Amino acid sequence: MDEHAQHQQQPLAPAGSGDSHMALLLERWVAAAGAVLVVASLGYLLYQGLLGDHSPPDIAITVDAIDRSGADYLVRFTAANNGSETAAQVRIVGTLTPAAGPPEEAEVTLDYIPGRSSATGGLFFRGNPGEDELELRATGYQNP
Amino acid sequence: MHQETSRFWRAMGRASAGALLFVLPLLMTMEMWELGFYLDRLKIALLLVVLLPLLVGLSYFSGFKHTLDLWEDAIDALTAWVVGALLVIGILVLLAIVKPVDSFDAMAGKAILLTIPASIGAVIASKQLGQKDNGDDDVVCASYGGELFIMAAGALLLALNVAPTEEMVLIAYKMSVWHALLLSVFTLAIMHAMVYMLAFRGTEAGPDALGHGPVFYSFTIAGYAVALLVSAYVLWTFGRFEGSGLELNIMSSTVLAFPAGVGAAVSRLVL
Repeated sequence: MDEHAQHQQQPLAPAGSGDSHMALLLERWVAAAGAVLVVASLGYLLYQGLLGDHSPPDIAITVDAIDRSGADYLVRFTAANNGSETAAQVRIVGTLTPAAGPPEEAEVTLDYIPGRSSATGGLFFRGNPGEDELELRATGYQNP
Repeated sequence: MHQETSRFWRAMGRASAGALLFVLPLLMTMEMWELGFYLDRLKIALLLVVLLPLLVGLSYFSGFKHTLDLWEDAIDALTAWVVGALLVIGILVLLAIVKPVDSFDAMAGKAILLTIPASIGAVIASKQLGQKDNGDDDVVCASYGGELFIMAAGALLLALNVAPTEEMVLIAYKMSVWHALLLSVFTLAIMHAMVYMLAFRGTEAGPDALGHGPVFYSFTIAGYAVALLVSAYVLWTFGRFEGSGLELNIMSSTVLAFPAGVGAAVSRLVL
């Protein structure tokens, strides 16, 4: 066993045999971790590529908070992509419809929402979204 | 006496430094994060399959430990993968590039994609950072196939660094066919100058033994072909060929073959 260890570490090693055995063990453990990582990565990628679902982006928007922001109101939201494919340049349009008068629109474009992930943003309105009817929806996206 | 264990940790430290050196530019490139979540998983898997023999081969020619047998080289390659993966994951978290709201798939995609250049860096770290403590002659005499292999590795390394950006295709849009033609002549000239200066490191013959002609045919042209193929493969992997015609694909490969060719020519010095 000792001889084996010395053989593997041949270039320079007048070191203690316990130490070179330790070094050999470390080396083997790290390499084994590497093998596990590589196989896991490859397995995961193949699984996702071949059997994973490929559903188109499905954007659901929830309002997180409504705050005053100077003269305006800030509506903070989370846009979750429940599909598996990534949506790029996701356009979010918010419409605030007061009881009387014309509706007010605000919009923002989110760069990316990866599949099964979410992104956050905010929209500014003149009117009070707490009182008037507020609707947020995604109106379009681009394939990355 | 902890000489052997400390030698192991020093090798790991060197590998980490090499991985960091090669992956940092890519870690800080937005396109790389985006590619991590939308790139076809099978393309990443294929890249990983291509990478493994590359790491083993690089370890043979210039590993962070000087190894002779295939088993040891495979161990070095796997070690490089661990070092690269840990480093990449750590920095992705540190730079807030992966966040808890991202799906596991998006995080894994980013990490795996970035571990590829990191592991190449880890394997060639010793040569890059001048490991001299072994005191042995670290030039492995490469066969012609080996030379081409090293050139392919160098081409891949440079190509990976620039290919993720949209500029490759953008430059191809801007160029006319004449620009592309001129660029390939220019790339060949630069490669030939580099190859000629570096051609004979570790080989039997000195520069005087061979003229420009034979060097041009067996190294420069071959190296350029390797660089073009590697460029096309990398562009295809990153989805830059999607929806573009053959002419544009050839143009963007020619653009990428410029840095890839420089990488190929210089790799025989660096790797």
